[in-house]
Amino acid sequence: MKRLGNISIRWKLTLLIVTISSVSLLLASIAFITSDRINTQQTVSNNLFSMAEIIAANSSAALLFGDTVAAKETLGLLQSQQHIQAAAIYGMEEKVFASYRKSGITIDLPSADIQSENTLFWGDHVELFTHINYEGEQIGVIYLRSDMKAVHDRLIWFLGIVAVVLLVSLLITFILSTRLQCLITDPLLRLSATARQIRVEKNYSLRVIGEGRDELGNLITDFNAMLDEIQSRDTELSEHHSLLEERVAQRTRELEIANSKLATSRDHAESVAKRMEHFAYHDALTGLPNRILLNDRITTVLAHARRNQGMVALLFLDLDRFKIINDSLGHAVGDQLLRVIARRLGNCIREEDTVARLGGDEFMVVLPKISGSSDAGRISRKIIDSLIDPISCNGHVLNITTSIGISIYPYDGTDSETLIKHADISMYRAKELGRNKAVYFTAEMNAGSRKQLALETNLRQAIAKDQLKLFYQPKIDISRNTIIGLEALLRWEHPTMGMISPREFIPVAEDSGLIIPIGEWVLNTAFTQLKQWHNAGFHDLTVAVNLSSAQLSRPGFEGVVKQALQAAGVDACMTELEITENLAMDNIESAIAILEKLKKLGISIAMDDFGTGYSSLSYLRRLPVDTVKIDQSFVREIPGSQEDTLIVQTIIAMAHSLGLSLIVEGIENVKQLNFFKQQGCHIVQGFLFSKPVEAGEILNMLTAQSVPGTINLVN
Amino acid sequence: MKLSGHHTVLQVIRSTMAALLIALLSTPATSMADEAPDTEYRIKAAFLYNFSRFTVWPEETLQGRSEFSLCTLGSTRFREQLDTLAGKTVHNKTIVVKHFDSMEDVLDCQLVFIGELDDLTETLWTLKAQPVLTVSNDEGFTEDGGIIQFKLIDNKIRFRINVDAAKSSRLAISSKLLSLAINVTGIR
Repeated sequence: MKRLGNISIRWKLTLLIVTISSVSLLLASIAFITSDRINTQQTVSNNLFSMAEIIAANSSAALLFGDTVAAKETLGLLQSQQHIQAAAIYGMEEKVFASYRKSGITIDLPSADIQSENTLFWGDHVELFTHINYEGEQIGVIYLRSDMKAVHDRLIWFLGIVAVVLLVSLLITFILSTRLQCLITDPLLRLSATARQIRVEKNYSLRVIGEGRDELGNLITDFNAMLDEIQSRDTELSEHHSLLEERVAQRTRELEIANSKLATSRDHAESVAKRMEHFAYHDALTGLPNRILLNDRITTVLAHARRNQGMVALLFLDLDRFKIINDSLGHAVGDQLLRVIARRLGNCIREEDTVARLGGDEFMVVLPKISGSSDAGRISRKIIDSLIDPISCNGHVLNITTSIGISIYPYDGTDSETLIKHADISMYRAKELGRNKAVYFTAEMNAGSRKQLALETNLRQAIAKDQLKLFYQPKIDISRNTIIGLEALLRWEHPTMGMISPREFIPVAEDSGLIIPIGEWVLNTAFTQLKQWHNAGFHDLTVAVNLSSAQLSRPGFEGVVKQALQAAGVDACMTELEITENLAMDNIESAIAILEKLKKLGISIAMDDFGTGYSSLSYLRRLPVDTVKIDQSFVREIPGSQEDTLIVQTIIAMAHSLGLSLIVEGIENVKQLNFFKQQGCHIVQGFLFSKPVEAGEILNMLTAQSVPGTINLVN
Repeated sequence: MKLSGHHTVLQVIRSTMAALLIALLSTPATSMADEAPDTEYRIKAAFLYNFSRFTVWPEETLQGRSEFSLCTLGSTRFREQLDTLAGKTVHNKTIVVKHFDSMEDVLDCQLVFIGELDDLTETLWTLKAQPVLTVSNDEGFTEDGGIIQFKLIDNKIRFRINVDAAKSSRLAISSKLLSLAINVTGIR
């Protein structure tokens, strides 16, 4: 039955019809044969009875006169009846009077019962007992026994006929049913085929051809009506869809136009996200990998070398006297110079090597596949040689050299931190040895670079001797031409070495732990100074203090801040702490935790140098930052540089979308000012307004601007 | 029947009782011991009765009668055997058994068994045109004009029929009866 489920409805119907007709035919045949058998038996019985009657009539006299010979003669007439097996005449005494047996038949005659008169059908024969009467008086009994051959023959004959009729009618039924079932199955199959075609082709305009007013006709009509409905909905849907697509296309066009507006001169308009991802791992100025990517490369390379017992060389590059060029010829020349140098460095190395910019004029080259220390020396030589050709920038022809420190894995260290430190130390040694040199790290150097040592010693004294000073750079709200706050910047004025850049001494302070007292001093000084300004009547002023990562990672730092606030007596909401991207990223989880605590105090958090590090959108979103500062390196060439313009626009858009306020650093001219004004940035810092100055000078400026509409533009 | 088949005639004569016993046990029609007059005449009585049943008398003969007269003429060995027939019916008439010695007496009978008789020929001649069925043991009875004559063959009682005699007496004898007769003759 299960297997029947899979066959076509065509065959199911045929099977149904043929089965029903065969069953009914079979039943009819059985009835026919049964009826015929009964009739035949009746006929046989009647025939026997007639025969018995004749014999009775012809033997009555013989019986009456006891003439057995005559009786036997009468019975002998039965010889002509082949089916009679035996016959007998019984007298009234129930004794055999005369008998007959067909030749070859040996059966015992039954004992007669004078009274009975009946016909008995046995399996293979039939027996008849009937009275012999004369003139109404019974004078004996006649017994006849006949075989059933005739009946059986007739049965077989009928069975044969029935079988033939059955077969013929089955054949006819089959032929007819295969024709007739089309009446039902054809519409169904058409329906099914169309439905399948619709499913496969998704073509709802197809219709089932069919007529007729029966249920199937109605089904087809309804199916077609349903298709009409679907098609009309489909059409409606596709209209909506195309309308939607049109709108999307329109929006896309608008977006494209907007996009192309953003990057008209670029051959390729890279997506903002991709760009930002690139910023995260590459130096914006030179396009070289940044510190983050470098660390990643070094880790990978060292792991590989560890497995393969290979050697890795790190080259620490620091350009000689770059600061002089930068200070004398300006940032633009310095940046251009850095780009050229980056390109030249790239030409000196193999594909598997890495050149990264660490920041400023420092570069790092990673050589993962060296066969010996001399390879590192050879590459260093190549780099130094590559800088021999003078570089022309903005009409200046510049000669630049570099000092290189080399550390080798596994001899000079097995982890990246050690290797970098040792390369750095070697680099200082190269500087000491007269610059434009490459120096291998040696064990003696490990005691510490002399410079660092000297710096550290001096730095300790600096705190004691009050050589550290805070300078303040105003933050201007250009919509009101008002100083709204100040950024505190640390300066070290060495009596003999002159001004030492924080960039130089802060790492030493961090390494030596001096950063903690220095940091506290900065906080206390800045807050106290702010209090003084507040007391002078400038109640709306805020002060921003830069934090180092060593401070931030120190447990209980928020307590230090709280104490400084209380000591100075300033409101936390008037203070701001600035962090660098890299600082926050060193340990993002703890950074988030401490920043959250600081925010709870009421202090706002600003992210300094945004865009120079690896602040991807996802990182920035997690940090509890209130303000983003656009780094002066992006500002410098605005609006001249399309690339910087694009970056800045992106940062602004991102800050807006994150609900962050913006401060632009390094505004040096009116063009830049106007550009940022157009971009909706109102808070700016820069030489256009004021360079970092001492606290006393700030008070002068504040007093001067207390006359509305006037602001003292420096430069 | 088997018993009788093995006994000799002398044995039966010596013991009447035995013969009687045998006769009682015997079946009536198929065979008999001709030495046992009782049995023989009992069968013959049955024959007489049956003869009357297979014979049709002229309509006027039996019309208006309520009795069928079965008679003996002259000396016969029939005794009570015939009397058993009395009261039976044949052709819807009640059989009455009568014994006569005079020829005139039997004219009104329908069947006459003629015993030992002196004037047999005359009697037969007298009855020739009468609707009387004549039966006798007498050898040559049918040749002399009698209608049915008993004859013992192989210890079995058989009979002869003179059809012409029956016809002249206006009696119709059934063909069934004729078929059983050992000899059917016409008149000489």
